[in-house]
Amino acid sequence: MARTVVIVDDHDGFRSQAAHMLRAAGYEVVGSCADGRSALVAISTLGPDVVLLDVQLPDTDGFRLITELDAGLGGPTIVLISSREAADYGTQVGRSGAAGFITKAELSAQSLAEVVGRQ
Amino acid sequence: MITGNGVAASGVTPHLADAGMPIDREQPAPGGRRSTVVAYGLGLICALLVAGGFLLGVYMPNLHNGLIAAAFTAVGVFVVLRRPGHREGRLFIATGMAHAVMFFGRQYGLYAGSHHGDTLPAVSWVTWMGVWPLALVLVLSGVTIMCFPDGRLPLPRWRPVVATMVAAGALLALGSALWPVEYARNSLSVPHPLQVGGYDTAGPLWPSLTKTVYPLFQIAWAACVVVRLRRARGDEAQQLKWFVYAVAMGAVAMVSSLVLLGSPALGVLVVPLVPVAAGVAIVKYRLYDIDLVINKTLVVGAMAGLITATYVALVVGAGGLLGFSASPNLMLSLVATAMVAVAFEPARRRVQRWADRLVYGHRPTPYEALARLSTQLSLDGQRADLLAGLASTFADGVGAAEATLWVGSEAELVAVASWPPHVGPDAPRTAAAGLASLEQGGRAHVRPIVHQGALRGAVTLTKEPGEALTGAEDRLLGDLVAQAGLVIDNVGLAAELQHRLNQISAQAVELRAAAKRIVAAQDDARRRIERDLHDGAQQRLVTLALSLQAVSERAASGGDEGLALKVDDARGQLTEALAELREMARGIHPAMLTEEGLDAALGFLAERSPLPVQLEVDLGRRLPQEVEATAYFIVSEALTNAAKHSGAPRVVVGARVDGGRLSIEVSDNGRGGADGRRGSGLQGLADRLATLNGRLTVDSPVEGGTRLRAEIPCG
Repeated sequence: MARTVVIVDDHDGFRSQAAHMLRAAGYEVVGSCADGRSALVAISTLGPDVVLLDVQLPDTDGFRLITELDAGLGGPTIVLISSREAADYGTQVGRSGAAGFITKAELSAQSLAEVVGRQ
Repeated sequence: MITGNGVAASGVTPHLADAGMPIDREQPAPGGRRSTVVAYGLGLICALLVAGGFLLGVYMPNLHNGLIAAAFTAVGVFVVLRRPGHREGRLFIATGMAHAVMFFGRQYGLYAGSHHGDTLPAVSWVTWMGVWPLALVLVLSGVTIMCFPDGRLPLPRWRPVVATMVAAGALLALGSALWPVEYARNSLSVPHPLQVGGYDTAGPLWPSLTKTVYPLFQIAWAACVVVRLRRARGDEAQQLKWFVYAVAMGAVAMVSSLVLLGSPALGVLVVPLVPVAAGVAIVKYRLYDIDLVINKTLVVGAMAGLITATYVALVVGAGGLLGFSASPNLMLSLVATAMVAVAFEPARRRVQRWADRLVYGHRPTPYEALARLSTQLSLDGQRADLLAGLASTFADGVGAAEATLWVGSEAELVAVASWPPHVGPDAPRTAAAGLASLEQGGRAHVRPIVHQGALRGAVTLTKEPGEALTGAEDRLLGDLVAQAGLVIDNVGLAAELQHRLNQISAQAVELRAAAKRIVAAQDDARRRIERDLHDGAQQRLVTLALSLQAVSERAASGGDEGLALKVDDARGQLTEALAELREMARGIHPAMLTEEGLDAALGFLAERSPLPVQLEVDLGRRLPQEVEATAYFIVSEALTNAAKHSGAPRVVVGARVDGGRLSIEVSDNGRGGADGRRGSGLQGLADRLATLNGRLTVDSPVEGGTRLRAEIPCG
């Protein structure tokens, strides 16, 4: 059974391209959100296996959203994405509880699989 | 009379000088012409009596009467002519006339006695006229002194004393008129014209009677003068000082004459000085400074006494002890002279101080006042201190109850200082429309302060009620006013300079604030650009990369490997471009600095530095944005420079907050020789630091490594 994914990013074009790429890689994109509030609803109702979560959102940021999700065990695998590098966020990425971080320019089925696979 | 020559000396215009001078005019009394004629007439009669008396010879027992007559009448006439109707002037004339009559009568009798002139016409009656009024003339003289200087008794309670004196004088005069009780004592041998009985009883009683009553007269007037002197203020005090000074000098002359010459002749000759001094006191006292006269007399007298005492003690006393003969000894004289010479100046200074204290009391002498002003000028005081000091010097120098210093121009004067100082934080800074308004304000003394021909200010003085400026005070005031112009000019320049400095300082503060705002605006712009890059171009390019990836995968799945490779190549270049763009955005403003603060940002710099970096960071808290940004860019620039130029194996970066200041230090042990001033990115950072009141120092001796230190106030 294909893994389900929710994409959270405020850029329509990116969401569309990412969804296309993930579907091509065998993922089932069950949701696509442009802000933190709708993401919380979608994640809690859809219960995806993986959340591709942009750090910079219009109403919140990815780190805070993870805190609000309170994923815990059995929750989705959260992968942070940003056009910046992980180093630009200092220690926040490490402390966030996300499964991993992928710079958007390097996002691919392979890089995602590596992160998710570590989980 | 107009006084105030000191003002004219200050270079004031005639108009101002007139305006600044105190005016002291007395209105002529009614009937002035008649008074003048009477005065001249009495003066002529007195002159005839005295001259006629002296034509008959000079008789020592009667000499004083002639001199007193001439002096009192002359002074009285002078006073009445200058101040028609002046009561004291009239009393002087009366006293002088009474003495003139007595003088002539006695001269007549003495002449007759010495020239066997019993046949002279009416010799017994004329002589009688020179004798019997003595008691009444003594009373008149006493009352004249008691009424000095205004012709009135100091208090009504002295009237019974005067009445008693008149009654006693009348009784004694009656006795003297009836019997020849005063004849023998005055060396008169002319027979008494009235041959009435009772002389055998009156004669023996007379000496004890007069020895009791006459001294009581003296005590009465002396007590009255002392009482008046103690109560006197201002002008009256100055006038009485003249009189007392003359009496004192007369007494000294009399005693000296009796002791040194064995004769009262010198003392008698000095007696006329008393009425002369009294006349000066009435009419001209403001022109001459009696305080100065007394002061100098005390100094000279005391020094003469000291020198004499020293000389006598050494030459006579020590000579006697050492067994020298009574004749003058040359050696002792030389020693005494040498001692006097050595001790003279120190002794004079002490005596001068003593005399100053005695005469001026707590007030400074004129010299001290000027010296004080000079000292105040030389001190680097604040403007307000200097002006207050000037007002105080004015007040103290002339003994004014209040002094106010005004600064301004003809159009407007502002009170800038006063003495005593107004209490409270909001001392009134009264403004006056100009000099004329000050003069109309009822102030006792107004002096314009003029410098280089222009009115710079004014001083207004108020003396105690009844006090006027003495001549010396007026001259001192003139001298002080002349100096005050320069003071106000200097203070004005200093104030102008201070004003300019304040302006420059305010401008500097504004400039610094503006520079700070510019830096803050630059930081904002940098943050915005970085965010725009992140949200805009980078996002589009990232999306493009994903699109290319999809195209590549579709080409590969379609069997077009060539296209897939080309698209992959394009995507690879795009990824590199994105990396460069991220680096550029980071250089514009590091997102981490905003997100995580300086501590993390320095760690990030250290991680990315080509040289190994040893971090020693202890901040403890987030710092203001502009401080963090400045510190970050300084470390970033220093690390870049170290990597490029130092050749050092590693760099140490320190950052700590201590006492409200952030200290940054980047040091290496490389080749040194860095110039932090020119051609370096550090110069821009130094400018940025300056806007935050920070400081940048670069120590980079050749082959001695580089040590860069920055200090930034951070609240």
